[in-house]
Amino acid sequence: MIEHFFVFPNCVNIEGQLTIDITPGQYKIECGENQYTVNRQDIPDNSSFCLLYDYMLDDFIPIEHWEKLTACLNMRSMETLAYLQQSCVFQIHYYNKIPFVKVFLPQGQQTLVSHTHNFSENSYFPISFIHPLDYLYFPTFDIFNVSLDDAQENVIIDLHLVPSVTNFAVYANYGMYCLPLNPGVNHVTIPYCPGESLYIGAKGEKKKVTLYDLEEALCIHN
Amino acid sequence: MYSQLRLVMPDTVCNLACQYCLSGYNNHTSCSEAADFAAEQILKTINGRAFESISIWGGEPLANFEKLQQTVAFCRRYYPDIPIRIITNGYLMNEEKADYLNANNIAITISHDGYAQYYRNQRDFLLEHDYLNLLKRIKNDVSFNSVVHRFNCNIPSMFHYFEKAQDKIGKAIGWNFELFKLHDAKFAKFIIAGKAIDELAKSFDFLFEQFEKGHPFAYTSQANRLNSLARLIDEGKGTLCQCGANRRLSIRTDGKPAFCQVAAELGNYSNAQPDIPPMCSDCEYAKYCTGICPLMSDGYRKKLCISYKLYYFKTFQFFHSLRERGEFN
Repeated sequence: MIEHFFVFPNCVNIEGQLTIDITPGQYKIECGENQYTVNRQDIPDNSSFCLLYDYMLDDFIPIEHWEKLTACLNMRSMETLAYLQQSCVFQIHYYNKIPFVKVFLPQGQQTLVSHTHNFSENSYFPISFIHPLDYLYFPTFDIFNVSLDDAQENVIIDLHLVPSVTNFAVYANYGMYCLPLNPGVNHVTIPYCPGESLYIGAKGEKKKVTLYDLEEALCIHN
Repeated sequence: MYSQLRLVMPDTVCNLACQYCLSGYNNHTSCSEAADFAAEQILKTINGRAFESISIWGGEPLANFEKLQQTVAFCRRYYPDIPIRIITNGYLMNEEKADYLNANNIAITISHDGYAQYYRNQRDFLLEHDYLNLLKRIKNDVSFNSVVHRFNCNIPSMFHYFEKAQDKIGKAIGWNFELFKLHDAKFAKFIIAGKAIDELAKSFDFLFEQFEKGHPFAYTSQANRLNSLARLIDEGKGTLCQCGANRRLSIRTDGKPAFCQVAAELGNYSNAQPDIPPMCSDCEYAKYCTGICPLMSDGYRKKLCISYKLYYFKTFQFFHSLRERGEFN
């Protein structure tokens, strides 16, 4: 439960001290008078859960399928939080049944308090470490070549995939198609869907952070 | 000016096939290029430059002893007084080779990962009495270089391991480390992630604590890096490739120049520059890290970013604390 557990101190404008008690299958989160229990079994594999804090209501707002919300808004996580004018205190991604957890502590709180685990000896990093951490847990890729076939019906993509450290199955998601990818070099042929972008991630996942603009690569400007 | 000449014997074999070898985990058997030692061509590439030191890389130099002797003879002819060091995995060391090193005043750096040596799928020769005697026989400097990866990021335990080895050898040894570099998605399991990130952070804290206490391993591994950092901060001397490749002239023994010894081994002759990659433009350490390796693509770079960022984060913390106390000015 805490193998991939990262805490960022001094982040959120919220009164009180954040406490997380971790038991098998549960994260019990408390801050001031607010509390929320995240049940591991309620979060499907290949999905994200976010616990937001609303200043106006002084309450937690749980959001399941955070990845779908950000995909609908076509925004990154940080952009979505700014757009919603909310702060995130707890985020969990389940990939390949492995939880990747990020905890954002209230301003002034330097270490995570817990009745079940001792986080006092942990190393804490500034918020600027969040992107390098995400890079580890999301698949990363390099696209070497994109072209249309002679009939202009299929897109041919040469890409190199470095999988997530949680080793979940990675797909090329494009239009209504999801093609499985292998670690290393991939040669993908996929029916051309004008206007669509390519996303690399879990099956059907369309995160902005993994977007690749195929139209631009093909020099097709609408 | 280049501080070091690196001569690389790229078409030579290696006796090992370490999983995370930067040269591709292939024993170099796929390399069909059989180049002769091209002294004239090397001299032409050197173009009269002076160096502070010379290092000789393989393949595995000791597995290609004739070629090593040719290379050393060349170095001693044109640079008789410059220190020479060979980089070796150490497995093929014997009395004959140790005596040869002594006769030619050559130091060695042995790649060895301490307790994690078994990740190379080889026996640990530092546990063998006869081998320790061989190292004792070598008159010049003997150093070790460890790769810090997901299963080997406990620097205190590396210190412990090599201190014990030092005691057994009976003379001072050097130690240095390099952070794992990924050049093939097959070896993604070695990427530093999860709790290993916390362990690495604590290791860096330990390293700088030991530097303050004057521990020789901490000093040999960090003094040059801290000096380079001070020069870069104070004199703003452009970007520095984090591995120092831009301060070395790397030449294959067939005379072809390459950006670094890895490029030379892989036959990559691109004129790589340690520029800051666009993906790193917002990073506060980009000027010092320069995107880890200019030969690396973003897909790999992103996976290694956390460990390098952590190193620079901790280095800067330490560096600034030294400066506040009036040191390193």
